[in-house]
Amino acid sequence: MPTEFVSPDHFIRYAESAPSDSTVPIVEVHPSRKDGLPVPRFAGKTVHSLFDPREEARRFVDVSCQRAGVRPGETVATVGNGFGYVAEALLEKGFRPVAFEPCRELFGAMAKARDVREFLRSVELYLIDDPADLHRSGRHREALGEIKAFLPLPYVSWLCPEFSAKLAKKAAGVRASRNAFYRVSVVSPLAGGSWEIARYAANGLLGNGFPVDFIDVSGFGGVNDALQKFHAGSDPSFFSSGQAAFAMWCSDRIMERVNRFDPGIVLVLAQAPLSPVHVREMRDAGRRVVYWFVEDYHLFRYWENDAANYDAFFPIQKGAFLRDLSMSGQRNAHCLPLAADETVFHPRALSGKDKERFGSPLSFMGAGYYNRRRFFNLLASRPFKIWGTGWNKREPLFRHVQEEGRRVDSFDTAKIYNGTEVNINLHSSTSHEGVNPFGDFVNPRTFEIAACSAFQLVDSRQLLPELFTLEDEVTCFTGRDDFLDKVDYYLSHPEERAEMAARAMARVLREHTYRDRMREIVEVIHEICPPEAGRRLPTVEEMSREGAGPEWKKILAEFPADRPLSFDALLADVQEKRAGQRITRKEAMVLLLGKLRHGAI
Amino acid sequence: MAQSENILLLNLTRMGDLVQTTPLSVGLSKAYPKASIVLAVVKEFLTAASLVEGVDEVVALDYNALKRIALTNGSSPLSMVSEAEELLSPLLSRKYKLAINLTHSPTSSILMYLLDAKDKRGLQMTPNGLRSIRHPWMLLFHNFAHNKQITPFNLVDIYAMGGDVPNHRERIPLTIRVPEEAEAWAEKFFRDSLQGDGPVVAIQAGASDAHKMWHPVSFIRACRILRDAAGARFLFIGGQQERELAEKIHALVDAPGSLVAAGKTDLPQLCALLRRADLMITNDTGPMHLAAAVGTRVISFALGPVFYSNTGPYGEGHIVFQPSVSCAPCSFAVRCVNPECKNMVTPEAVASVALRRLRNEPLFPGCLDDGPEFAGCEVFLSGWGEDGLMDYLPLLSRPRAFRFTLERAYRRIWGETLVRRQDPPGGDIPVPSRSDRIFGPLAALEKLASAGRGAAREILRRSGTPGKHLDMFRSRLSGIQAASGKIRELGMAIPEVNGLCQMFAYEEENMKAADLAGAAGENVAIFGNLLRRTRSLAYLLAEEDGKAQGGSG
Repeated sequence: MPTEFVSPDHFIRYAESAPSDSTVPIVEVHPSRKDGLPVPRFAGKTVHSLFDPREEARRFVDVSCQRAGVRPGETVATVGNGFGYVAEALLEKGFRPVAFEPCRELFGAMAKARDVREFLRSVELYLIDDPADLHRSGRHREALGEIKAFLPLPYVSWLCPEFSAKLAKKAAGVRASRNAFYRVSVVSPLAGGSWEIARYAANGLLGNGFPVDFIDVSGFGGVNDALQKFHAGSDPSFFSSGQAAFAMWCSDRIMERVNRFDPGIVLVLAQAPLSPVHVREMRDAGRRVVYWFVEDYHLFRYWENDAANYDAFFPIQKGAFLRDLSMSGQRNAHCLPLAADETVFHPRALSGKDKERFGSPLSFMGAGYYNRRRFFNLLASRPFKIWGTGWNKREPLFRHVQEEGRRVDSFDTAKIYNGTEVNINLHSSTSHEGVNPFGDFVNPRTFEIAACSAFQLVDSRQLLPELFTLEDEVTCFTGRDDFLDKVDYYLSHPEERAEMAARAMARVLREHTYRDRMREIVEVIHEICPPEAGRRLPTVEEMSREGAGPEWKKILAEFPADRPLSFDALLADVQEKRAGQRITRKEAMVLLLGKLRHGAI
Repeated sequence: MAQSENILLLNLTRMGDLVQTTPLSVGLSKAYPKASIVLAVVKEFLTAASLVEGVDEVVALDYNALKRIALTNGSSPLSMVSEAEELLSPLLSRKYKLAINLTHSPTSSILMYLLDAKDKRGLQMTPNGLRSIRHPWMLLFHNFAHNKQITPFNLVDIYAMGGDVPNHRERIPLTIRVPEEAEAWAEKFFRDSLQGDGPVVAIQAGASDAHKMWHPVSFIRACRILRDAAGARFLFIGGQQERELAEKIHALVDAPGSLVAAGKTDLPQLCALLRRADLMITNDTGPMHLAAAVGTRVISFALGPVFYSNTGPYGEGHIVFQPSVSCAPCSFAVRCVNPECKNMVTPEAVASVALRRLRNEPLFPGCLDDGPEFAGCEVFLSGWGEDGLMDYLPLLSRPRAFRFTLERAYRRIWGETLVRRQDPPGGDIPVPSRSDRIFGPLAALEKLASAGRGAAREILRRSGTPGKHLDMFRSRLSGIQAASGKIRELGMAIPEVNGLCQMFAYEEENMKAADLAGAAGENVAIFGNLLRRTRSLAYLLAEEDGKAQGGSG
């Protein structure tokens, strides 16, 4: 289950639908002997004092806070919430409490036994299954960053032995990366879907305020095709040796760009032509080199050799893959789902002309994979538009394919999503007739349609419930019958469509943008292998403190004190100085270095 | 000596340009005997700078280190600036009476801004970040970057005149300091290593830019002709990186008594060797200027972006081959992929002129009969012009092409204006109403200049009572702006008049006045300058045209 923030208005859902899981002990509730307050009990162990849970909580807070050296007014987290007595004691003593509860059943029992509405107005409560997923929510991140001390409740240590340690580590990573300001190089592949993701990732990093060098090698993409044509009919070894030489050449170019930009972090996207030798060189130079494997690991197996070369590896799948990665030597693997670039995918009203061109009751936008070419025949008699490449012209379905199956760019894609009543989203498969019953990762389309506040019917995926609330934010189909039922139902229920789509968009904007993902990458890097000290640019305040003279102080006053200031940002500011303003000597030196930096003499 | 008695020459270019600075440095040291002449150069050319006569101190700027700082990532900008300041402190920490920028580059303009100098000349950044070029000769220096072929002055004279060294009267030659030990080394080298007794011709076949290089095969053919006709011996010179080329040419020329010196000498030794050569055949390079400075006659090639009169060898009696092709000289911004200009200078033509020089046969303008070997080029002889500055006149006896006539007319206009400081001839005679390719644009330019001047004059007349004439001011100012814009556009469209238009643009950029009357006064002068120069150009071209028609009639 995903990590969730429990708001005062929605707690009732937990009280009513506490899931039953045989691995979790059943919660019994007993009245305390002194005041009859409800006290939960698991398999013979009580979570709070059966005599006076409030007094016990006060004493616990006194001792723990003193030991942790925190002062009233500061944020303190309870690891485990139980029935909330410790959090309430923190409140009484002037602390700002945050609670992380690993056991949903316990909270369900609390919601039934106590009126928690008031409690939730004063205490931020999060239900977490795995601290590794804490990144997912912007709200968690904020909370984690603020926390000055963690007070683990005793029951957590026997219920989830590693929970406290994992949570503390995660919080340390989040805190440490909070004001981090690394230069990041993003290395694109030559072509393919992951190229777009590389671009979005670069945008996401920029959105977080990181200086980014987007190393776009797509311009060289035609060479592989040319090689193939050139060696057509020859021994395949000619092509493969040419391809290897070309890949090495690309890798050299990438290396030049990386050395020139001197990043602290290099984010490599799937299929980027970067040789392991260069990855090693970058790491030797103190850079953190991480890989976002935005592929299906079953289909593309090159990770078996490559994954261990990187400081950290971010797949879009988890479960067995994380175990396999560990066995291949990559211990720092962390599932990082795809996302949406909200600057490209957002709600928009289409012009009459665009509505006619891109609008439709039913649409699918994507490549003509085998399962789609088979499954979409179900819609053959319906008003259905197909967009994208790879559709077979000889198949009857092709009459639904728009504009001769041209490649559709992301801006037109957003128009298609916006202009469609029901967007069909079937994840690709080369070996199924329709829905892949074992499909796990969630494709970018899911996030992008949602980011447009457009409605979608998406095939069931194992990791989807971690990202969206099913049947509340998105609705799924598992096979032919429920697919057609839902198509017909939602076509005739526009208001339900609109409400669900709006909730999905809110979720994306809250948790699933590339800005979130990139922040998550940096946090994970901080947690597992922080870049070498000294790469962080000093903040403006630090620069001012470190003996900057009056001329510098005046220049620096123009910038936010708590943000780092790069040379490029300073140069841009000096260059934009309004005509008529006198350029100071320091500014002139900045201009001089700027000229040299950009190749002038 | 007071610190403010320093005079700075900022020359962040290559070896050749440094050698070309010598009349300026010598002239300044004579004019300001108490001042210390400081030459600032990039570190790589420190040795070349130390040869420059008249210089008291050389400041070597480590531009590579500066670039490394500029390319640093992840450091505090404050520390980057601080490191750069430290590197530049030998230049920036002192005061100067006068600083002259002999460089076109953007960084040099910022350095000029940073300098503490009473009088700054040449390209410099203004306090609000704009471009400014001070001194009329420095305007011409920048004009020739855009309009080489209609700015027919030698860089040496432009440098000198930009420092107010009256080289049209003093004719200070290029001079360099060659240490005694280098001379002794060269003496021994000539005595011990060069066999035979034929004339010694130094060959510089390499160049810093491949576009400036005559074909090696052409060098070989020319050398073979000289070998066979005059028993010439060759000294193949150059730097270490040119050694392989020199050795190949040497092997293929196969001239007895010849040697490869490329890569085997330091700069003073090279100068001493060149002094002992009878002739040098060379691309437009630093060693070409060294040869001119030590008094050795030169035959050079103005190929690619090089124009014979701008950077040709300075001094009397040098010869420059210039291809006669409409695209020559090409722009500095162009990377030509089909440099046909190299084929237009034939080895036979070069060898025939070289033989005359080696045989001490007289060479004077028009002395060479036009023959097929000269079909693709012009040949110029250097000497002092009527205006007192270095000039190059055609050796071939052939009718003048229009472009040469145009070039001469420009030379006359700038000569009268900047050397004699008087109005150019025909400056008050309206442009004749003719519709051929040059008079039409000149008439348009005359009209624009006249309109601009008229509007500026009107503002100037009423500037004492500005409150009463706001509408008129607005209308006239927009008239001035429109005329100025059209003048610039005309220059971009018609290269033949761009020399005038570009100069107008520079003068306009450099206006100093901050008040209405002052600005109007400057505008009157600038438009007036353009008007007189335009009329003068038309007058001189018409005069030349008349001569030609009279001649043919």
